[in-house]
Amino acid sequence: MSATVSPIREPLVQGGKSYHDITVDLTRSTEQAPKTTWWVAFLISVSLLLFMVFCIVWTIWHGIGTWNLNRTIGWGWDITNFVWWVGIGHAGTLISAILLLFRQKWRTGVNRAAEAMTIFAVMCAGLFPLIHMGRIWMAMFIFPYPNTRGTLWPNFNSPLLWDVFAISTYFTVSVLFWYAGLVPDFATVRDRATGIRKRIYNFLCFGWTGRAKHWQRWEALSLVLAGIATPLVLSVHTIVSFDFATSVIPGWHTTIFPPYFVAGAIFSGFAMVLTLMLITRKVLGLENYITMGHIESMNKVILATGTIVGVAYLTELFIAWYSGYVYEQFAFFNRALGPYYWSW
Amino acid sequence: MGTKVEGIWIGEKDLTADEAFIASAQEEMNPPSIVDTIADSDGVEDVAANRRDFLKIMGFSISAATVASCNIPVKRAMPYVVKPDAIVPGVATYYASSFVDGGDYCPILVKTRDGRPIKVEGNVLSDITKGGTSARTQGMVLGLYDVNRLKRPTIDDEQVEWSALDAQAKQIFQNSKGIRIVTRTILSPTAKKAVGEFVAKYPQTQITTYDPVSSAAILTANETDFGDRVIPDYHFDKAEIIVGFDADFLGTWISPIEYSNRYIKGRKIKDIKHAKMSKHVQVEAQMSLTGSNADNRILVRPSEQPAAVAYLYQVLTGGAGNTPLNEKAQNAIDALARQLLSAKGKSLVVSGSNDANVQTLVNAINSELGNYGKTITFDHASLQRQGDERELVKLVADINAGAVDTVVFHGGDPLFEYASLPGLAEAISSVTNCISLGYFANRTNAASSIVAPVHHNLECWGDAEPKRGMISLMQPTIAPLFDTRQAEHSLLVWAESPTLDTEAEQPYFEYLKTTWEEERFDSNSGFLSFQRFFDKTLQDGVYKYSVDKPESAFSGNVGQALGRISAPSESDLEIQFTESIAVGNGQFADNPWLQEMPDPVTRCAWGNYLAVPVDFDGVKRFKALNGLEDGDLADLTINGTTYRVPVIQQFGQMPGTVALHMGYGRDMGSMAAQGIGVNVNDAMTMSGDRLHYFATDVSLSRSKGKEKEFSCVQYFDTMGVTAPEKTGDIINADEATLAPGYGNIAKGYQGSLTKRSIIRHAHVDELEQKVDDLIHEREHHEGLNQETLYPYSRYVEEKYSQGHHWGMHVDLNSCTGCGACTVACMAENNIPVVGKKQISRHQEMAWLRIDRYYYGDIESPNVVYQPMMCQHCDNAPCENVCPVNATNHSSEGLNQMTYNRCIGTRYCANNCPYKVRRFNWLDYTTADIFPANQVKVNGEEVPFGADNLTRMVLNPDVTVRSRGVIEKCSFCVQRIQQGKLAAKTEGRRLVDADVRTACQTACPTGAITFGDQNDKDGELHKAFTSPLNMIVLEETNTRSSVQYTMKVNNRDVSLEA
Repeated sequence: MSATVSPIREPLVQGGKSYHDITVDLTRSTEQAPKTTWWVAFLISVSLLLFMVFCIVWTIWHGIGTWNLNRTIGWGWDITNFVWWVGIGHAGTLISAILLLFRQKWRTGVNRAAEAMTIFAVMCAGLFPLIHMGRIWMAMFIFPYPNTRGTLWPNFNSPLLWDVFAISTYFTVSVLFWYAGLVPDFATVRDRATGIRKRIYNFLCFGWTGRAKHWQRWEALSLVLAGIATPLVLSVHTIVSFDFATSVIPGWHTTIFPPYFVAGAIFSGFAMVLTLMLITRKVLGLENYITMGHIESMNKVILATGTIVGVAYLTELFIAWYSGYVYEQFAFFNRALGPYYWSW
Repeated sequence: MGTKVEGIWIGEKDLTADEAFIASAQEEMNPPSIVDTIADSDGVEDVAANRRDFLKIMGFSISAATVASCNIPVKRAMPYVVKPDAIVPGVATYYASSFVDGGDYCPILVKTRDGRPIKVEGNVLSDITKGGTSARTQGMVLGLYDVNRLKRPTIDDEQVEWSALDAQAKQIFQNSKGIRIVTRTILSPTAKKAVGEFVAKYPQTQITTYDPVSSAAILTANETDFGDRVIPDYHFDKAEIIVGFDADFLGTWISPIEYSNRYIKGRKIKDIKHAKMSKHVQVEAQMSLTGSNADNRILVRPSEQPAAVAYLYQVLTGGAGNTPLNEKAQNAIDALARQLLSAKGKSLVVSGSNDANVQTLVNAINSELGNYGKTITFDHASLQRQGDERELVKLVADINAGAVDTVVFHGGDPLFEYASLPGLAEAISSVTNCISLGYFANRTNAASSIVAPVHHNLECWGDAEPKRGMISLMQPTIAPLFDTRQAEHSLLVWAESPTLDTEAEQPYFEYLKTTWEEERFDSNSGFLSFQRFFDKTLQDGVYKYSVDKPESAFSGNVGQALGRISAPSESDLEIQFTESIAVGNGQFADNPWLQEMPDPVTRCAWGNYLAVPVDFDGVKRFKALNGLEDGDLADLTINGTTYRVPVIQQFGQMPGTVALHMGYGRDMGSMAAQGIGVNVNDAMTMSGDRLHYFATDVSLSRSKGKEKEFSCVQYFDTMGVTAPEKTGDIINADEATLAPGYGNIAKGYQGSLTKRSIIRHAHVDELEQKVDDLIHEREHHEGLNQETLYPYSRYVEEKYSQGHHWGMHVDLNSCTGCGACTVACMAENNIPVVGKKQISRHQEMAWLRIDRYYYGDIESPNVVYQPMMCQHCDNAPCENVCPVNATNHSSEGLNQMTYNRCIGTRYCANNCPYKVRRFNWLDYTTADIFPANQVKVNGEEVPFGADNLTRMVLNPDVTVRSRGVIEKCSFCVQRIQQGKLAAKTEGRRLVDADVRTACQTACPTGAITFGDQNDKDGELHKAFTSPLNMIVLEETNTRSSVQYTMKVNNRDVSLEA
């Protein structure tokens, strides 16, 4: 079946690919043995991972005192990393959920990869609040589980507790969404595979046969999950921002934080998606699937959210001045021109 | 056919009934037990084990080894079979005793739990200290449990029995042609009697008395001027104008607890309508604790001190001052003299100078002002300094002349403290026999061949007469921990005293009692027997007798003194050596609590820092001498010797001078003392026979790098210092340095926010106006705080209308910043010592810190000290952010910390506006399963207090916190509980006096009041009604339970001309 090329807009998949071509192109990397370059990249990643494990063990064995935090600065790179990773994750959800609802067909080209990135980002994000605890071995105290200590519950007033719920919800929904999207893909791989691979993929795709009924239900499920995930795009980072916004620390205690965090999350998340996609499309030869059109669309999102973040920065500074609140002024003046002026 | 056999057989051997075969067949089915085999054989070597035995033995060994290795070390807690009368488990017992360290003195109550002294409190019955304490007093209990104590008698570093030591010592004394007992001031009359017996036994003995920091000139001057070689009784409370010439009487000078208490009486604001307070002028170069509390400081260089005193005398006596003195000081002293003259009999001039001529002039000034008999008296004169370094000079001469071959060191470390005394170390090393009655390893003990280790203060019997007519007793609160012996006991044994009953259980106790019976007991005193008298005195701890001391008139030779006044130096830079409040002249350096206590003025702990003057460049920057910055290292050259010292910028330090603490950098001692700070004790100069605590041949390099572990807990925080701008206008220098401009960008801000509602200050004359402002500001804050959905008034009514509502009041006008409360807090609450490195990383653990702020003139600013601890906010920001409810509010208004529940997210610490929450970053206490892992303290990876001996100091009522949890001030919740129980046992209502926090009892000036806000008749309620009160950061709506007062000064602008 030859591709129909629209005279009005560029096709989402270029190069006049047939369905078969697409299937072959996309499954190629899962069906061939890893190349040398893959092994090199993998080894580098694993080495870094082992180094991280070493650092975490060191921290837990010796205590948070190894980090040079102190009595005024109780949070450092741990919470910074947490916020950053949560933010990164948002791009994936935005692409898969909000763009689905807006019927942005181009999302399909980057959807799966962005979703996967979201899941790993949220896993990273969940890791850091754990490491930063003084007594990680008591981390279960943070969950509201029935216990033998009378009616001892976590403190539902604490934004950190809201974080726990936000992150766990976010992770659950993201995993479901990601997996639901993968089911037809697993089936495609299964159809081409033989032997044990076939059986594994058959299990993973829940016996998908590609019947119209399957597709119909799959579409419905995607829509429902998108509906659930969409508010999460806004709520998760809003809640993360509450960690700071509800505190009394000058420079943190501002109402602009929720929208500013969300915009920043999408901004950095899309940047991360792009960073990964640009490598992927070159290395795996997917230029026809992740096209300049995709990059262009994502650039627009980055530009828009980046502008929002810029305005937020200016607003913060303006409000610090306009409020006449000396503490706020002091904090913002020194954020801009103080001892760490070089860090921005 | 063949032979017919009965039965059945299975083989040839069976058939022939082979013996070996039958034995082996029986063994196969029923082998002998291995135990039998071993028992039957001669040894185990030739016992052959078969497979089954092997398996059995192996199985047994493995399981036995496993079971054995699973064994948990058993710590036994033995109950009393017969309970001692004095001990109720879980209930503290208090014994009256005295803290005596050389001339340092404080009457105390020792708190013991289950036989262990764990805390000291001031003795409120004392007329000297009125129940106050000092940081050094609070720290003493830790010295008892120091693992580095000298534990056994030694001769030439070999452990010996006491009998062997005594025999050798006596032999030395008998054969000696000249003996010297080198001792610090002895306060104890009984000890003096013991020394007297020694001298009687060995008449070739002479006593050499010295003090770690010499005040000998005062003694000499009073001897020549009044015929009384004492330090007179200074009544700071009765003086309206107090002038201190370099006398740090609130910090280190002679009797700081007593002086602080008296001084503050004249400084408290009682009535704001007709506010009155004494005026305090300090004439000095370095910012001392006393100077920081003064209203005005007149800056004179250390070498100008004599001239300044002489100038004041000349002006006072109507003449024109003609001694060379800087012009600013001349003008100021002119004005000061006029005021002094109008306050005759109600003024007080003291000087810390060690120049007898200066002290004679000071006496002349006080005499001229008619202060004798009014603000200065001799009847209860202080005996706390009796030493004279000239005796050490004479000792050196005697040794060099060959007249001395035996020296007995009675405590102290003169070889370190007087390292600048020429020839002392060489002379001592040439003495044939040195015998030391030492406590810690130090230079003096190292130089002694015989070391007879002494008891700790808390293991001793004794008495002390710090002031004439005021005696207190000292009693042991624990049996000696090591094989030590009280110094007096040793001297009496060596003197073969007939009055010492060596067979008695406590020989020196009997000796003390006998002495008291002979000398103190008056049969007309109303006591039936001596025993009753002694028991009563021992229980009270203090005893007073009347002294008839006729006031003698001043008869000093003023003309001669004036003529001998030394001229100021022409040098560009002078250095002043000062005694540290925490470690003295090194004698308290072994104490980790005191090392950890930041110096009140520089806010540096663990080391001495060179204080360099700061100036304002008139535009945007504070600039210190030679461009040095906090934590820089610089080369300081004194009289040709170069020391590399860390630097701290110090407001109020006179330009052209620097200051440095003595007593640091000990090369021997315990873990806390060694190598901490820089040793400059050899840098002082002798003038005549006197040691002068300054030097004029000084130069200072520019920065030579940064100190690796700059352990300062607060950088120069100001709250509104003013300085002249380039144009000459006076501007707020803090705000100028904060203003945007190119100069700030590279270096960051230097100044402070002056509009923070942290402290308020006022001049006493404009007090009403300022109180008005304060009230308006508080109303404004209240207005802001009312704009909430959850009005506090309803909350407080619901929550606290019943029961207790604890609160605290800190009178900043009474607080001198001495730091006694911080050490008391560490002792009471088991706060770990973290060491220099952790402090340099701002990971200190002190629950109570004393913040220091400057305001006013940049050259000589005024200072506010603010003890800052958990404010126990009723609307606490920390409480609602904890995800696990580890910190919450009690129904009595306490902000509680549940260590067990804490998971260490540190959110509460982040969200605390007062930054009083402390996180256990590392395992400071070895309280949990982690190894001792405080990284490298003095090269050893051992936390302070990780050993079982030091842990004996822990307060069993307070949890030792594990790694990874937050902790903070609990308002001494254990003491609240104790107070409640006491009231309940007595079946009455609890009153404020039942609960007194550790910081409150430690304070020498009564600055801290704790109590129940709901108790309308209580002390706290009264304190809370003062219009001077304010709440720190009130506009954040934290509803703090701690109120501070506005700081009032009596600064006199006429002295600044």
